[in-house]
Amino acid sequence: MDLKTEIKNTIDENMVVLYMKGTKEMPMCGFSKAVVQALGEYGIPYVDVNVLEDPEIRVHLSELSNWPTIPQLFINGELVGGCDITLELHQSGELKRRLEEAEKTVLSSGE
Amino acid sequence: MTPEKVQHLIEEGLSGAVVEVTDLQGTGDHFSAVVAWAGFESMTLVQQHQAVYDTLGEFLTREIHALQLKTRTANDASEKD
Repeated sequence: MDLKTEIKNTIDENMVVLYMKGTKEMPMCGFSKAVVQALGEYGIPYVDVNVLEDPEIRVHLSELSNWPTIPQLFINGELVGGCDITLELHQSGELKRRLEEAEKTVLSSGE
Repeated sequence: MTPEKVQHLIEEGLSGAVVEVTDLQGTGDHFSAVVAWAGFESMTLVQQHQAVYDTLGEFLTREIHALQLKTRTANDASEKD
């Protein structure tokens, strides 16, 4: 399976996916760390992908999402945004709503 | 890269936009920008940011390593926070 398909599957098959620099235990960039901290407040499971492991990840990911920078947060296969947007939604309570809504769709689809 | 150049690129790409750019660290590669543009009205937050990123093309990630962005639709452009 080529990398692009692998990325697409990861995004589509997981409720919440965070492409970041480093890991959620050890973020390697301030913006990635800020998103990890925000997500940490919701206690929801999410997949973290360390783009530093393979520079090709970033190239294919940006083609897929049309978003040039890292981190990138996806909920139910949809790009939420980078650090700015995620924090803005976090402060406004919109991120909480979208996460709860995502959990409902996952539960109702019997996954 | 200078804040003026970043501002110019965004203004050229989004005609009529009001743009403020500051160099966050004085290193010419970490910027913050506030962009007010009427065209944002019909866009989601993600699309607004993508529209700004598109105006910067290759500069983004090559010369501009980080861009903290605040977007506003034109009518609340006067709102200062």
